[in-house]
Amino acid sequence: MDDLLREFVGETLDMMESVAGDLVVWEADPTDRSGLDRIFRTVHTVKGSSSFFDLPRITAVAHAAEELLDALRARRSVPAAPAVAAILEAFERIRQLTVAIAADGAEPEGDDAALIGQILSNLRGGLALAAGERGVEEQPAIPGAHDQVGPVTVVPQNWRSVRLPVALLDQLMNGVSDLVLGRNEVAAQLRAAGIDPAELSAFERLSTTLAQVRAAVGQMRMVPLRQLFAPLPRLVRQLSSELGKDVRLEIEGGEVEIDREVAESLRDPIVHVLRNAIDHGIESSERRIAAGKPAQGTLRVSARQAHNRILIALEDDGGGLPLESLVSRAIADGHVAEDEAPKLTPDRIAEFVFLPGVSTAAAVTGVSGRGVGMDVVKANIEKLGGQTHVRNRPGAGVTVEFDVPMTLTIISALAVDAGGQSFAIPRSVVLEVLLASSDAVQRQSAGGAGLLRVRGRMLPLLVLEELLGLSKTGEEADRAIILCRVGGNATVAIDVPDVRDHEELVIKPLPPLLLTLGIYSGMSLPDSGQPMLVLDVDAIAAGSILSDQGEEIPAASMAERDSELWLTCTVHHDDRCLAVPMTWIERLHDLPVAALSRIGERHVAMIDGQLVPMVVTGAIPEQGTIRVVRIGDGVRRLAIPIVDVGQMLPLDVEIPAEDALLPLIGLAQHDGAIIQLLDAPALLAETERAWPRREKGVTV
Amino acid sequence: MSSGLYLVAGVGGTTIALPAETVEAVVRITALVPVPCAPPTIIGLATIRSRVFTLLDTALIAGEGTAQSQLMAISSIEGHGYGLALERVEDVIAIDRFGPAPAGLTSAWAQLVDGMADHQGRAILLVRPEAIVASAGTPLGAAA
Repeated sequence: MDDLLREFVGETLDMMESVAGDLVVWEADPTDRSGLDRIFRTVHTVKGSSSFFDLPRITAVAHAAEELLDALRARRSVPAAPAVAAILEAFERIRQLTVAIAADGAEPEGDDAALIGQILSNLRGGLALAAGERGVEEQPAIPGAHDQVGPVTVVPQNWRSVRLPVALLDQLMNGVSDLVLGRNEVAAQLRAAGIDPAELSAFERLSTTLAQVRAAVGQMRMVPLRQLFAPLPRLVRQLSSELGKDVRLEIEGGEVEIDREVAESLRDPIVHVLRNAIDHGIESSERRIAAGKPAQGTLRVSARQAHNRILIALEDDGGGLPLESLVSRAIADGHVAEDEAPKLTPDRIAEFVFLPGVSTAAAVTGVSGRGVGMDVVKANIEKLGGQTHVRNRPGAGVTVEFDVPMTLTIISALAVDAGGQSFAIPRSVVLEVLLASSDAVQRQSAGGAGLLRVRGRMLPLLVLEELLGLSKTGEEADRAIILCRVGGNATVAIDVPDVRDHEELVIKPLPPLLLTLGIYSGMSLPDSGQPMLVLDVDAIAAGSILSDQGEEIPAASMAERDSELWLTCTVHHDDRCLAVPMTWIERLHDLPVAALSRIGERHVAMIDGQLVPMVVTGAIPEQGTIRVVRIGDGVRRLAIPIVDVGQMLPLDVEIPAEDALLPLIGLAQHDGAIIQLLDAPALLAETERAWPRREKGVTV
Repeated sequence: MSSGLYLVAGVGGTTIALPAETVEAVVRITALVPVPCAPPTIIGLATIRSRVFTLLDTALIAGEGTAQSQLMAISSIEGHGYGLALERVEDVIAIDRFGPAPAGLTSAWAQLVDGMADHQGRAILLVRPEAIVASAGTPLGAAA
């Protein structure tokens, strides 16, 4: 059901409820003409909008009721009970039909002739009676019980809603933010007065309630995806008949909620992908039967929520992508060198559908195949801070996946400090965070351009203070390098003085004056009360370096990019080999055993004057030195004792596996040895839970 | 021009009148965060009761040279909150009518002024907040 029809349903149900009351009031006091006028206008509105939506049954019933009401208005006398009953019955019928539309998106089959006859018979018969005769006529009070209406459904609860101007919601949100700031200030004053706010139960209750209200206000912007999916069956039916295909649509996950604004922006991409799937994905029935598939093609739209992101999968069971023509097109357009082509993996080729100018169609049809499309879809999804993926199953279909944030108003961001203020970098563009002092990175410069070499790739390097024209502060030790994804596939490194925190930020739009600077995409007012600007990394990169390079500077071959690089090592607890992703390794250390201490169940090591949590999986020698590998994401870090370092290998997960001591993403094998692939982010997160990081008064 | 209430304020040596209905409040400038790379007409972001206002240097926009302003008039334009820095705020008064803007205004002022009133022998220039915001992006005064 599209938004308009949904609005019609909501409004009509509201009106039917109030109009029935009006009618009863008017019957009691016929001199009150305003009541009758109101009823007449309501029925007129319903008639008009139902004919706009092509709902013939509602239109016909409303039309009959309108005629009767018009006659009653003209007579200026006491209405006869049967006439009132007939109109009430008409309202009830309209209500029932509207409920059915709410459930199915269409008017149910049925016949209202008996009801309409009943209403119109009042026009011919005794329209109005003298006051003394009221109620004497012995017509059945509620006629038309034999009409077909289908089973009576109870009005779904979600229609009991109020319509609010968005400005009022914004005002409410601002008010709640105000309350939070006020609460923080009170807490600070309490602390200054020597009172621990946590011990003040009234204050605690205030905080809890405030958190709940804040969550509820955030919820107000959310709509179920059902609303977005509702017009799809009609669209699929229409397109498939236009193209002579037999297609069935399955929808799943309509209950998943998403920000209204994100839902709006998803509409076109979804329609586009479905259109493509029907046009060139799903084969004709004859070809499907010949291929041993059911004659009817299936499209599946499903949605699920993963943390604060929504994954929408659009799947067809058609013939899959024409990989060969994708490759030749990509070569022809200069996206790939000809000698590179044989090295491309099928997954990589499938991603070529997102290149500009590439079409999956053999022929241009009226529906799609003009080569404008998937690149625009990808760009639209990326504008939302989302990603697109395509999975091709040769001969069995294609799945296009959108991974989008649940809400635009709250983003997960890294707060970075520069020049005495904080800026936010959205997590959606951050690929990884490295310590500038890490051995994994090497700074270079060429012709004045800053470059960073990371694991065989040469990336453009931007220094945040230089970008923003801020003075550099002396402290160099803690600098971090944030690798960001920009412009689709390119990567840029940003050198920042300090990564402070991960934060969930409520984003507010920037005035045009600031937006046009091309540096910031929004702003936020975190609990600190100091406004924080959100960096538009894409625009910054486009403005400062990538304008003439476009893609990242090629250093790694395609094949190398497909498999992640791992460092193998032997660990204490196991004969098997552990592999640690190179991306997460900060460095290796040989530590004197004396640098380790044990606190309860946990171990901690003193490394370069800092305490680093240790993940100990076996016995630690009594004396001498031990070798550890230190991993981290620039904010969190930990060390794992190892026996020896093996080699650096590109590895892929072959089978998933679990291990009681260390989180794994799976197992791989190399030269006959089984290698455990460490899930570094999971281990960092686990360790953090055991050792909450305290820094600048912030507990993460 | 019709009669109404106006906030009378000083910008450089000139007295201006802002229509009272366009001004939400006049507040002291506190908690200012700069916006790196912004033109000099944008002083920064000021926060008042969890609303963030883009603070504009009214004097600089009017070509009077930057001034140390303590106060700002806050105004909402197309959903965004702006603060207009003012060196001095005099009063809110009723002005019956404004005549046309005087000839010979500097180009910076010409972009801002909508009319002039003779209020008890003093020339007061009518300035609308939208005009200040519109000029902040293309500051003739700042370039001069």
